[in-house]
Amino acid sequence: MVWKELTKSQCEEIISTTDKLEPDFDAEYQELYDGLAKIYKDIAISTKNKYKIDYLFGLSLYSYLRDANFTLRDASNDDVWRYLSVKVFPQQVASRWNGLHEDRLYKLSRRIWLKTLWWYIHLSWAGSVEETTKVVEGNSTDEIMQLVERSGKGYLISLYRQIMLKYSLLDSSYKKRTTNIFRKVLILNTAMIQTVEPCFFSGGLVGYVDYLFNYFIDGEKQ
Amino acid sequence: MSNSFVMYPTIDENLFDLMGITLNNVKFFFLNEEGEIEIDDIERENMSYQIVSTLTGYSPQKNELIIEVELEITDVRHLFGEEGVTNAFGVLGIALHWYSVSSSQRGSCKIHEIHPMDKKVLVNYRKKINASEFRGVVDFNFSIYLESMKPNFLDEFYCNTPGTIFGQFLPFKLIFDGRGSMFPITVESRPNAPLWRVLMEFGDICNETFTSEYLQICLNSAHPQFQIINEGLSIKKSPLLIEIISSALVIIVDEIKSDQNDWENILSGNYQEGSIAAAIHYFLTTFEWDVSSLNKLSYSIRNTLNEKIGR
Repeated sequence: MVWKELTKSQCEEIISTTDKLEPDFDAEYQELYDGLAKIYKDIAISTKNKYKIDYLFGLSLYSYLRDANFTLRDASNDDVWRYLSVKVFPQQVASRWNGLHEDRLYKLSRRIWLKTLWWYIHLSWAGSVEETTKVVEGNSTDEIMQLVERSGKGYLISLYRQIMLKYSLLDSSYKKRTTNIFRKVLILNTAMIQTVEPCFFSGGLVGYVDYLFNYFIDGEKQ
Repeated sequence: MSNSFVMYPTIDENLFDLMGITLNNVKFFFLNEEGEIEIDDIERENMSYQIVSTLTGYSPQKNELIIEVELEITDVRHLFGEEGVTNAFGVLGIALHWYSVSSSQRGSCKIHEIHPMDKKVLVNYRKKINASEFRGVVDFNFSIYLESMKPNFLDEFYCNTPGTIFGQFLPFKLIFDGRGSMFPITVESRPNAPLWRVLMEFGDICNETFTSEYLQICLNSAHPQFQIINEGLSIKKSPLLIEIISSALVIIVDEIKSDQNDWENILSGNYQEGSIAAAIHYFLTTFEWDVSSLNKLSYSIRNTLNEKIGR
């Protein structure tokens, strides 16, 4: 499938003509739309929890796109996400974000909703939908933001997957909002990665991630 | 580039020169049904490689790419001991790193080990890049890092954290798409509108990146003259595109200069790497653009582009 693109200025022109966006896409997107629109509807009926909507829809979006041969190259192209948001799934974006939300539709690269969902799942991917569900189900919208909005010079994908896996296996007492361990681990990583390459650390990536978490957990034990 | 202050020896310019590190060769191959084919259709400018035409049949979407590098270090003994970064029990590694903001990815791989008894190192390494993995620009560089060491009570000042990078060097870029790294250019269709326009959507030039998210030249594919630029859309082949980019740069520099704070930040180097301010500073200092008047600015920009690209 050839993924269509929309520039930021094209999106602005489309939005300037209407208060409410309707789906308006090329025929190739029909199957994708039919499948995912129904899934979103079912999820939205089953829960009002924003995070649940995000990760459940995210997992389905990820699977459907993978089946349509969506690649990393496509996923890092904001114009592809803009087409998907403004032309294919504007109603789902509006439902999730209470109306026409420009940043989440096309305006802010790191906040385009569909893009953040895809990258959240990709950076948490544990081999299958079932395993990845276990990794993400205990989190919140805060984790999505912390993880996806720190792209810097590029995501070290294998590292983030290890961090997400370890975080999902942590005792829940460490995960209470007040301790904020997820955010602390990511910030420590940002500092350490300036001088240490994670995959060459003792024990490799697994050892590095253990080090990041233990830095805070051991301290709190005292 | 790290701004952190470290308490252990690292590779400074002197040590780098003593070692004699050179990148002898960078070659590109791709795989198709017939096997491996060398891509010789590469435009090279300084250490920036652009895969330009598809005459060889290479497609970033469909084909795996292989980058072959040959790295040479004349004398690695300088790395060990008093003037070096580790002791006689240390083992070092050479790594290849890549970063791509446009592809949202980064990674590293080990390409060689350096032992205390080594003298000269010659590494020939092939890095495979999967089809449809990267887009835009990928930055590469090499580093020497600590693989392992046995601390000795006499030399506690050496770093003993495996994975620590002692120095990064020999950067090079690979450009997959786009028309070179000079400027973000996009294409849109606007009937009855002019051939081009500049979109400036920046607010914080010291942090916002020099990418199409914040500023871009939009070329209008619906304009009758678009075809003149569109043949290959390579800057070298289009004098019209050079003129458009020159004019756009004048507009942008003038806009940025009108904010005193921003201008001072640019001149004093007070900005993030990769930001709009960083790019403007690079242009100003490398090409010595004359900003004393609009006319002089326009002339010096056109002069630069003409010298670098127009011939």
